[in-house]
Amino acid sequence: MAESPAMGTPSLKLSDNTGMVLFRGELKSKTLQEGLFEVTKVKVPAKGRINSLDGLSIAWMSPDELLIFLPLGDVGKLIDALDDKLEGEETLIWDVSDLRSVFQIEGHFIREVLAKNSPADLNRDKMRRGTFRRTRFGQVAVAFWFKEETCWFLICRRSEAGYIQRLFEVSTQEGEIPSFY
Amino acid sequence: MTVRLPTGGTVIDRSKPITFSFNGKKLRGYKGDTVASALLANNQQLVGRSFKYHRPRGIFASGPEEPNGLFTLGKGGKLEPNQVGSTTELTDGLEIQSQNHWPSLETDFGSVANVASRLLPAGFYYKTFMAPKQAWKHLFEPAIRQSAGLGKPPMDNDSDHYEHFYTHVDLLVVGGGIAGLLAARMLAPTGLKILLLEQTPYFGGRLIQDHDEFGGSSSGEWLTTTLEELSTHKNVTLRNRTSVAGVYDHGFVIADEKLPDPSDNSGYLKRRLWKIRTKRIVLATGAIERPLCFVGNDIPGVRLASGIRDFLQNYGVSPGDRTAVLTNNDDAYKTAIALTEIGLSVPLIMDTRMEIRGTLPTKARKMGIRVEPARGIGEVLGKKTVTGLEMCSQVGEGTSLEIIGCEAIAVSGGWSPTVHLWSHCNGKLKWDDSRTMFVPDWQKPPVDSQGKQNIFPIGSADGYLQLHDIPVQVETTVKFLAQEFEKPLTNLELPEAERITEEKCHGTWLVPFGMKPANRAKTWVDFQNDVKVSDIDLALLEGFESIEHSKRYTTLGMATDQGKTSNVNGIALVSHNLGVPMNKVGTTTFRPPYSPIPLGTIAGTAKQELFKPTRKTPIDAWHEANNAHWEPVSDWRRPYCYLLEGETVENAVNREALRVRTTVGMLDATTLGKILVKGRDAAKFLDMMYTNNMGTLKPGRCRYGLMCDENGFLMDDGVVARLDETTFLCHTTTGGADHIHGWMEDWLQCEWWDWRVFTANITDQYVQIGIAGPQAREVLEKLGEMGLSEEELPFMSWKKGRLAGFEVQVYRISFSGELSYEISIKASEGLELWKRIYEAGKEFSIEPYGTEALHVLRAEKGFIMIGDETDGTVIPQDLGLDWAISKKKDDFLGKRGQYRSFLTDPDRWRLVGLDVLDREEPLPHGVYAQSEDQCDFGHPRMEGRVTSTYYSPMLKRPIAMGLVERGPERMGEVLKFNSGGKMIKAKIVNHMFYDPDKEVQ
Repeated sequence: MAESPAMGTPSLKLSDNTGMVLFRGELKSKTLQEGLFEVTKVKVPAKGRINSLDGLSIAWMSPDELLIFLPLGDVGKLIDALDDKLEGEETLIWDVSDLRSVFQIEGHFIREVLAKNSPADLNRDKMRRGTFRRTRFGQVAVAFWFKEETCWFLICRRSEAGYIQRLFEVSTQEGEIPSFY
Repeated sequence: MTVRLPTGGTVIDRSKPITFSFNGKKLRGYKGDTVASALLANNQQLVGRSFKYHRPRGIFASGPEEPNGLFTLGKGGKLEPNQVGSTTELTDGLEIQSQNHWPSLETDFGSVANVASRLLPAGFYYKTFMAPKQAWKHLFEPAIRQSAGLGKPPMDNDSDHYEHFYTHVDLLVVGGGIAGLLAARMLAPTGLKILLLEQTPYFGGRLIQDHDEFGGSSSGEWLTTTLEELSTHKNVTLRNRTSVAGVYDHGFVIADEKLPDPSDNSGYLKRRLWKIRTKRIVLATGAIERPLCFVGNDIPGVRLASGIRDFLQNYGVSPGDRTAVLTNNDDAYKTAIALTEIGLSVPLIMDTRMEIRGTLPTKARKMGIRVEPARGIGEVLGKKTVTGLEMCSQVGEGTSLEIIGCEAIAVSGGWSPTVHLWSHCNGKLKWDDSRTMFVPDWQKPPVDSQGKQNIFPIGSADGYLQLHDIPVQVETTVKFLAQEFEKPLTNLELPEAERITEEKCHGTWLVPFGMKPANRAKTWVDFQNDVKVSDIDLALLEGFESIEHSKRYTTLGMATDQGKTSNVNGIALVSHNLGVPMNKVGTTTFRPPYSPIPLGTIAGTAKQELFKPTRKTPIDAWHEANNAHWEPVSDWRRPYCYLLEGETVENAVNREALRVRTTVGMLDATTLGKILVKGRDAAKFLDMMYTNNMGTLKPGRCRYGLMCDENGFLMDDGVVARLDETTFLCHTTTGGADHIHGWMEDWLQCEWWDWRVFTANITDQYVQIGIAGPQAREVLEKLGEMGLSEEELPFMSWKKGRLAGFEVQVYRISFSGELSYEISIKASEGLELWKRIYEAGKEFSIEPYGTEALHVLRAEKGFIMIGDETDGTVIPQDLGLDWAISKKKDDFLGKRGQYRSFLTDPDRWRLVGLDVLDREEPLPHGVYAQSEDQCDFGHPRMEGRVTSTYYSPMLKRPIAMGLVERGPERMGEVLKFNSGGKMIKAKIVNHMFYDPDKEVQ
């Protein structure tokens, strides 16, 4: 029953130029939701989701934390605009573009390679477009989501990027990838 | 002789011969063979020596229940000890070694006269431990180490790979036999995500061997159609060679997959550990045949009846010309019939039952096979292989009625459902007298988090051994599951099977029933651990009556096969001996794994450089290129020092420390934790976190702070910078970052949830570069577009600015006692700035320094280090840090703890400097000071210990700090430190060795 993928294994590359902004605040607050939307044009995502529009995405990190992805050059502007808009609200907004590494994963059998290292439910009905899954990859904390079935993103702490790269390499080396998902 | 027959063997490919070796001897097999079948085909009946008595042992079974046929496979990086021959596929060129014999398999010293069996009775180890202490070490242990044991561990690194794979499914079907396939086929159309795992390379279980027809066609056809149909369902995945090893809470299951060996001797992905979350488990694990207990039942040639049938039909291997059969049930007649049909001789079937009228016995009789009711075996004849047997009356004492010549004895003591996985999560078993087996007790099943049954045994795993019973039983379970999942069922056509009648299996636990005492010591219950009937007798006699006790006392079922063939017989013998019903005796506990899993599989990819993640700073590659000598600091790697060509580590450290004291040095301090704390209540919050006052800190200023746990013990330290009215940046130790962040969140989320504070661990966002030394300012001023003078940036203040064109924050703080700056910059720009500073510093002979020079510098200044001066039992007051404990604050974490009498004891060990006398070398690490008086136990009383010790290149002498009883009150006293019996003298001095008046920084 074992089958090897004919289409080859996925590849992983660092994606520079991704700006990231940490946003902590009372996410249930209407003022805050509306303020965020006005500045970003993107709605505050539901638990475990990521919402995107025109190169800006907002990911759900925890009940009071979001992570905003946008082009690196726009980070300063966004932070200023948010500070402006949400003045008086209790928030923590910080440029964390260098805090984490962003990887882009391309190819086939990405779910399978992730499933070798992450206990997340990668079934297609659970890990859907717009799912932002915080989990682990091997022994380090990561989050992943996908744009298309053949194009995924994964973030990890910057200092652990080397570990991720090596583990990904080992997980895609010659041998069998179980065709499962 | 066991030989390959000219025809037959459903799973071997006779067109693909394979060569392999056994103990160096070249042999031939076929693709599809297992190690066991290939050895038998080459008449290799003797395959190993038993664990304790070194008795000759042969292949006994055909599956994972095999107790004897364990081998060492491969060599070098591919060597694997204790591999089960009957579940290991033969590969071309495989080198097989037998185990546990000395000097050779054929002639084993240990078996001479079976001396050992009298020396190693039940409870041997316990009794031996009671003997004089010396006897164990000098007499028993060396002897046992030489004789007992299995294969030897590999000496080389494993050259193959392993990995894990996580899956989430609705339904896990364990076992790809008749029941498992049928259940999967019935449930496939529901769309449920189904994973079916089969431990062998083949699907179908015993269908093809034992049944001609199923579901209105040949059994082969039914199997092919079923597999084809299942392959059309995308929601169903079938994996062969995957053995489920354990079931845990919340539907977590692990399985061990063996991947086929490409045999090119290179490293390959060898095994995969499946980690499965499933909502429900269908247990179609089948049943395992039991042996019978009679004299000489361990002699090679005595084999399970089903095993003989498997080797005959699957691999075309004959057990020998004449096979006698001993049974207490109808199933073994299949073996007699199969052997006769192929043209081999079955001289006799001894059946322990009186009346034998079932379909199969009738067929056997019609074929002319001699069937003797109420008979058993008095003794097996032969030493290294069976040559014959003495038949006796089952109800008698073993008197020989007739001698029968034979080469093999097929034994069947009935079948035990494979209930291990049912039991792993506390599913209970009950003894079913009518079926003579322990079956799953559906009244006490394993349950999920909702308290609902989550494992459903079907087919022979639930005790239904007859083919015609299986479809109905599977249907009942399938209907229940479909209803639970709220899925409609379609097309539930039940396959038809021939209905046969059979006589009840007889509870025959000893053959013959009245076996003489002397013979009980020649009758084996557990083959792998060498447990005999007499051992069980002895254990019971000595009072070990609970089955859990007698198991441990005799080691019954405690070998690598976990008693798959021996447990039930053992329990029955206890029941029989004590006169207590089976249900009262109960079973021992089944624990994972079902079959052993190699450690490599469990480790998966977490080996070598992936054993543990190494965190690296953005400057890591530069350090590497500059010959960094590394040291691990929590999960990070940091340069301990940088080695110049030909330089020793010691000299490098001294050079680096001196460089900082004389001109300027630079340090990668990126690993220090950085936690952002922001909010209306941030100041109030930090006043609770730190022992000193943080609320009064002015924006633009920094303050060194201490953190204690609730008990008052010092936990972490670092510099806090106030960024603005509501924002603080807390620096932690390298190892403390994650913990302190979690600690803060714990208090915020669980205790002070109404405080308006947010935290963020932003350690990796910034590179932090320390520039220290008298010329630090000059270096930075070369790059600066910002004022760094004493007036513009006084000690313990910080500001934003630009250096070499980069946006930076500069902190004027010092851990070396020198003029010192810490520059914080975005991680992505850190390396570039590092290089620019290095360039700019060249005219001042700037050098990078590592962690050890950092420690030397701080120790010269008497600064404490978390983890050196602290060990979880030290409070700030012990370290003379009273000044950092606020007297004004109402509360802080640890305050109340520090009021406890023990922590306010004036005799506590406190921090002092130690000036070593009469010696050039530093004090050894961690040595204790010994006082003249004695403690309550008559040992010298300890009065202090060394916490930090270095050679100071600046002072050109060793320096040390230590915790000493009433230390600061005893300045000038000389202590004696015991270093492995050698006493080293050191004088108590002020621990600020260098620049005590702080004139430099």
